[in-house]
Amino acid sequence: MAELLRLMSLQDSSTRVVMMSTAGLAIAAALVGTLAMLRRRALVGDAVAHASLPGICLAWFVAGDRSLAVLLLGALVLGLACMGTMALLQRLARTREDATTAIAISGFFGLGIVLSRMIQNQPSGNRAGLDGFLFGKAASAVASDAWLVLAVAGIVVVLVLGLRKEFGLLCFDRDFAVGLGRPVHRLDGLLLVLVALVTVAGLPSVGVVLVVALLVIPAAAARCWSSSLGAMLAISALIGAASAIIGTGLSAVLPPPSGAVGGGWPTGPMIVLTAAVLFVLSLLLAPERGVLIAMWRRHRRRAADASIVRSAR
Amino acid sequence: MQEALALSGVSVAYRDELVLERIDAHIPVASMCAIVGPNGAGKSTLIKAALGLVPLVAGRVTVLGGTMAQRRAQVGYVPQRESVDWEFPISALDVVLMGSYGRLGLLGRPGRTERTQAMECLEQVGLVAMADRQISQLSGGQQQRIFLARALMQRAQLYLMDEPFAGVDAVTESAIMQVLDALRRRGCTIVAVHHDLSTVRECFDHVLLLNKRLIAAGPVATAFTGDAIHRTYGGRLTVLPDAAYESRTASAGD
Repeated sequence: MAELLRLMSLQDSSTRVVMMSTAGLAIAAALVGTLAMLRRRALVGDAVAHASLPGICLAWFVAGDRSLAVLLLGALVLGLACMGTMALLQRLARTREDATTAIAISGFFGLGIVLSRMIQNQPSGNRAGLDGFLFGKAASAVASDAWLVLAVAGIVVVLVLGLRKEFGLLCFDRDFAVGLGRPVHRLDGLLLVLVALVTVAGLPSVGVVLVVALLVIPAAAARCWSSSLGAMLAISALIGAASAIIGTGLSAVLPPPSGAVGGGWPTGPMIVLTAAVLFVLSLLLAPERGVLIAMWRRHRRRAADASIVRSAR
Repeated sequence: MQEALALSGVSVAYRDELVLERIDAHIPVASMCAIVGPNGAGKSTLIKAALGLVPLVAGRVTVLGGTMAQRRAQVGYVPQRESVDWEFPISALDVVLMGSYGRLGLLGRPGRTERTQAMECLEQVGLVAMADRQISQLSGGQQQRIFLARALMQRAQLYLMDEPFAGVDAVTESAIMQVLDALRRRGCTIVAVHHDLSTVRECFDHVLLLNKRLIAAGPVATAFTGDAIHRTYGGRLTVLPDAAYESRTASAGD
C-alpha cells in the first residue's frame, strides 16, 4: 500500500517520467485512434505495428547503433512502407481492403520473426532487447527513452487538436471536403503518418502485438459516451490516460505471480486489460447507447404493453 | 447569356468501363436544371465529375467562366444522403457549420458570426429546433434538409445536388422546393439529380436526359418530350410519368 501511494504520488523521479510518457503516449494514441476509427482506418495501426518488427531488426543490422531512437526510426520507415504496400495492392491487384490489411500484417510480421531469429543467432544478439518490442517493457524504460516518447506524443497531440476541424470534416464527409477544396489527400496522408507515429512510439511500452489496443479501445469506449467529436476526443484521451496510469501502477504494485521467474506483471498487457475493462463498463453503463439502459427501456415497454393488455380485458 | 456550368466532351470511366460518354451540356445562369435518367445512367457521376470527385478520361468542365479549381468558393454541393454515416458523433448545427469551412483557414474555427449564419440557414429549412440534436436522431427528410442548409451556408452561385428529394415526404419536398426557388430568384443556378419524372415539369425549367450518353438537353418545354424520355429509359419505362402531358402532346400533334 505504501508502495502504491509512493508510486501514485510520483515521488520517484524515474517512475514519474516513465508514467508521464506512457500516459502522454496513451492520450496521443487515443486522439489519433478516434479519428482513425471514424475514418474506418483503425486496423492500419495494427498493420504498422506488425511491420515495425522487421523495421527494428533492419535498423539493428544496418545502424549498429542500438539506441531506441534509431530502432524506432527503422520501425517507422517499415511501417510507412507497409502502408504503401497496402495502397499499392489495393490499386494494382484490386484486392479488398480487409484482405490487403491481412496480407500486410502477416507478411511483414513473418519477415520480422525471421530477421529477429537471425539476430538472436548472432553472437552479439540480444534476445531480451527484441522480445521487449513484442510485448512491451515500460517498467524498465529509461528516462531518456521516456522523453523521446513524450516528445512524439506531444507533437501528435498538437497536430490533432490544431487540425481537428479539418479532420472532423474529412472523417464525416470526404466528398464534401473535396468540394470545398480542402487538401483531403494531404490530410488523409497526415492522419496515416500520425497513426504510424503513435504506433511506433507505443512499441517500447506496449509492444507490437498490443499497441493497436491503445488506438482502438479508448476510442470505442468514448463512442459510447459522446454525441460530438470534441467530447469523443476528450473522453477518449481521458480513458487512454486512465488506462496507462492504472495499468502501469497495478503492474508495479501487485505482488508477482507465485513462482514467477521473469519478474512481475507485464506493464503493456496490464494497460490494455485496464482499457478493455473501461470499454466493457462504457458499453454497459453509457447513458444513451449503453446496454443496461437499452435493457431497462425494453423491460419498461414490455411492462407497459402488458398493463394495456390487462386493462383491455 | 453566361453559362453556370458547361461540360464539353466529358467522359468518365470506372475501371475499364465508360460510364459517361462525351457529354456536352450547357446550363445557363439562374436556371433550375434536372438531371434525369434510369439507374446506372451516370447521373451522380456527372455531378461528381463536375466537382472533380472522379477523374475525367476526356473533356473539360467550365464553371461560371472558369475552372472548378478557380470557382470552388462559388459552388455548393449536396451529396446523396446515404453517402455519410449518420451515426457520426456530430450535431445538426455542426454539420451546417461545415459549409463555412471554405471561408475559414486550415486552423480557423467557426465563431459567433458563422454560428449566427448557420442558425439562419437552419431557419430557412425549418430546422432551428433541431440545431443541437445529434444527427442520428433526425428523420430522413430532416437529414436531407440539414445537407441543404449546409449548402446554403456555402453561399454559392451554383448548387450541385445529388437527389435532394430522395426519400422525403410531400411536405418536405415542397419545403425544399421553396428554398430552391428562393435561391433561383437571387440569381443562383441549381443542378439536381432528380428521380420523379412526374414533377420535372412543375419544379424545373431545364432538363438533362442522360443514359451514359446525353439523350437530350435544354429547356423543359422543348427537351422533355415523350420521345426523349422513351429513348432515355428504353423499354423499361412501362408507365409514362405524366399522363396529362402525354395526352396534351398527342392532341397538339393532331
